[in-house]
Amino acid sequence: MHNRASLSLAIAIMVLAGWGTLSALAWPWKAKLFPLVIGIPLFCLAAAEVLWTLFGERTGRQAATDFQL
Amino acid sequence: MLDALLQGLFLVLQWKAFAFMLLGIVVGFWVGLLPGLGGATTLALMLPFIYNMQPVEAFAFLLGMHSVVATTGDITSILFGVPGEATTAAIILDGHAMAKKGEAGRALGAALAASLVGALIGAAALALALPIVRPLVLTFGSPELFMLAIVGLAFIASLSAPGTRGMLRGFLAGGVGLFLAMIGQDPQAGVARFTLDTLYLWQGLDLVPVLVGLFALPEIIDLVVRGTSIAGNVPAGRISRGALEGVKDVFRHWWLTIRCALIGTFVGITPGLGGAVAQWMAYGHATQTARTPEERGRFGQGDVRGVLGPGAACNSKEGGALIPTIAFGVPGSTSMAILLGGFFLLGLVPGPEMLTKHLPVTFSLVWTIVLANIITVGACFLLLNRLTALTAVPGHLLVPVILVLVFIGSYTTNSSYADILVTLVFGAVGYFMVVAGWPRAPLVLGLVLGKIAENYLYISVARYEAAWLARPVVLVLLAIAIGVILYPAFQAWRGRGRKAVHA
Repeated sequence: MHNRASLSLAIAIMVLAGWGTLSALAWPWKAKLFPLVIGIPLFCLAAAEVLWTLFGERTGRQAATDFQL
Repeated sequence: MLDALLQGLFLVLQWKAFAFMLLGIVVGFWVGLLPGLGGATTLALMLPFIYNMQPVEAFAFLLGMHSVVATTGDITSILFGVPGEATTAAIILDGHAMAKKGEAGRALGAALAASLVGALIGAAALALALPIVRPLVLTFGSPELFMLAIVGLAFIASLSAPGTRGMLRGFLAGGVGLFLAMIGQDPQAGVARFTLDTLYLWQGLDLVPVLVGLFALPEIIDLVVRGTSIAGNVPAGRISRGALEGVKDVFRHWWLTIRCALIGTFVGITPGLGGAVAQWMAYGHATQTARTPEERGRFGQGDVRGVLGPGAACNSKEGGALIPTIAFGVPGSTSMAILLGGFFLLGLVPGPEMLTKHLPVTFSLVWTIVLANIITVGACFLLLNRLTALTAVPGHLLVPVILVLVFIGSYTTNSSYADILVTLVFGAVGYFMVVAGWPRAPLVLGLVLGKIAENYLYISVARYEAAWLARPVVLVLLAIAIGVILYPAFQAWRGRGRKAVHA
């Protein structure tokens, strides 16, 4: 459940970042500067998380510094 | 100077000014408790009432109200996990976790005492820094302010979850926050970005519905699933007992409280960063005090240091934010911009005159912050038993009330039903993030900092092109950001080394 939720989130972020970056390409540079600066690294980080979840070592739940259900 | 300081005190203690301050405190107390109705909105609503007041009375009323909003906002954050204010969300992480462990009294005691210390430090900073702060603020241009935003994000992203994987998730959450901040009309070119062809999204996502959804809804789901009270099976009598312990915690971790209060003051002084940033930076700093990864793992599970840091920073930022507002007429936040409007309404011009001719009035602002916070914290301690008793109320009775608060809070932000939809969507996102073990704090900070960071990045690139990266303060801040990112890895490496030695 934990890994599946993490994978879903990472894929959703990948799609979001990819869509955002592609959409931004059509805008004037003033409007696309920040989306590109954020969108490209975000896509790469999300891809890294997807790969890590799929092929990385399966560990137990690592709690975030955040409250848990 | 000392004469003006005493004169300022006497001005606030005049019966009319004092009565207006008390009225402001009462209004601020309830505004802080209600999610959604922010301090800035209330300041704007109250502005027309000051037309016929003397400056000291008007500021006693406005500032009295504004300076207690954050203090009482902490109460709902701790007790229900519902941020009473956008500026009190960070305290949820450990404060609400403590409430769930039956330590609501201790968490509230710590938050209130830290708030008071923070407010006093902020006020002292305001009194002391007025003559010397000008050169400091002027060294910070757009490139430095952009880097400061990045440092804040690096703090939270790298410290909010353990290990490299946790850091990756922290940065992902922060990136999503920055991405969400881009929604709406772009301020430079006027392009509608990621608005999905809806008019509602043209002005961007409002912070309150996002915050309420992200933090409160997963908590409510948790409360429903558990079927108990917030404090679980802890006996009701025990919950409020730790208040004194919470106060003692402030003295136990006095240096951390002071440091976090200074962080809040500094963020307050820096124009454009806003109050919501202060508490997250302070929380990040509090997390950094953990010496081992195991100790850091306790943050978010109810570590009192996670309450002290945001509690102190949240109130100290008010004194800090008043410094550029009074000295240069540069408001540090939305609330200060509204307060600046109050100055002009009353015929006062911020700037050198406030430090010479109107110095007693300026000091009356300092005293208002001090007195308003002392009175509020005193009142909160008197009500502590009743407040903490709420955590012993069975979930099935509490959930409908919290849900009403949540949706009223979301709706009152813009009086739009779409805000309720946003709350629900982010409630689902928050739930998924909790299930997946992802930190939510970086997402909020990214959302808070996104617009500011974009604006400063654009100005930096437009004005200096790539040369802004070589500015000395930028390089120092960049080094701090890299240090903050590498520090957890260094800590883990040192921890492994120690274990190997003991083995």
